Amino acid sequence: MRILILEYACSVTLYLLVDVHKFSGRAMRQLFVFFALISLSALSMSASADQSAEVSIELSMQKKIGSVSITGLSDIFIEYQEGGANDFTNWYSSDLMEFCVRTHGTRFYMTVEGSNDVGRDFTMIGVGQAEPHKILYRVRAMRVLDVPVPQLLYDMPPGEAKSIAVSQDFVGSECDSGGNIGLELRMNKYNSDEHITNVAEALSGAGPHEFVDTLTLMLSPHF
Amino acid sequence: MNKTILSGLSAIALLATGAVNAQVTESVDVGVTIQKEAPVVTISGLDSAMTSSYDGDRFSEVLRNNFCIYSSTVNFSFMLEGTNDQGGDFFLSAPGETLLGYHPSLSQASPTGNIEASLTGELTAGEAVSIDGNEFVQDETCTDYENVILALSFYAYGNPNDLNTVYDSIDDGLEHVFTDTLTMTVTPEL
Repeated sequence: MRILILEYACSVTLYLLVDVHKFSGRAMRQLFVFFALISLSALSMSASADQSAEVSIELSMQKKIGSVSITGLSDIFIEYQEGGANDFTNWYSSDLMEFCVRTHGTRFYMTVEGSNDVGRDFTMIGVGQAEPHKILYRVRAMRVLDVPVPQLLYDMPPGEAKSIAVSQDFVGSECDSGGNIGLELRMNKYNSDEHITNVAEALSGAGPHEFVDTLTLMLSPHF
Repeated sequence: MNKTILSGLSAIALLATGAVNAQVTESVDVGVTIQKEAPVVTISGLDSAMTSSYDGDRFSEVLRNNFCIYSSTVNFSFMLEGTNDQGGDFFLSAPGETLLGYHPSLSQASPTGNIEASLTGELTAGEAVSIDGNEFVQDETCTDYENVILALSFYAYGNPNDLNTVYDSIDDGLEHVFTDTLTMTVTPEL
């Protein structure tokens, strides 16, 4: 007896096996052998029915270079009145000068340099004085957007680049929603002859006495 | 199911001939051949490359590849595997850079080529998903329109492997190319 079945589903094959069960023992053995062959055949034919395909995916990134801008800078004036308000602090601070930095990415480097820097201090020089007095001061970079009160980012040593995170979410596309960074000048009152209280005492004659410095801000993109 | 019986039984006729003698023993071979039509699945119209570039603007990029799946069975399974898979997640890689994660998914396409309905959700690498093609499978080459869309979306902002975080981590001005190769397998389900 020979039964040839080409079939994928094993359940159909099992049905045929039951149907011929009454035949001789030899025939049964042949059927069992054949059933095994059918099963292997079904597996291999199912596998060949798969379809495969490949897709390559490519995404390129390149950071833009040299696109950093600064807007909204203004001069900083400080008026110090000797014997003025005593706020029980050891320093005298300027008002905050706000400006806007816009750059690609969310970081940039900022460096501040003055004209008469000494170590970690900036220096204002007296104008029209025979022997010009000097007033030492520090520059503080402050974050001013999305914070309840201005928040110190860095005490900026002269000529030292600091990395500052300023998300582009902070500002409008043209910095039209205000500044995101501020600079504050802070003068120590008492600790040296070149601190403001002591300089004020040393000055002769009625004021006003003018002291000046020029700050240069350098910004570069942070990759 | 298409079954064809190629040969039948003739034993009764042979036994009638042998009845002339007192005792005759004959044997006959009986053959039955049943051939079932093989299930067929076809992938066609798939673009072999999906490319894009990213310049740092904060948005979630999506890449799409419209193509055709045909299956002679109502149900079929769909599976994707990438060369950079980790823990069932898909990644694009570039030398020396953080892996860039993405989510592939398969959707049913509308006649105008847009996403009509998701078929798989976000796929897990190496895990087959069973799909009922009853509503969208057409002829073998999708004569009317390509019926499915492979879409790749990138992780939402805030993940270590998201588009913006990886972009921010690049520390030079060079071009970095992130790549992966997806292998798609479609299998008929009986």
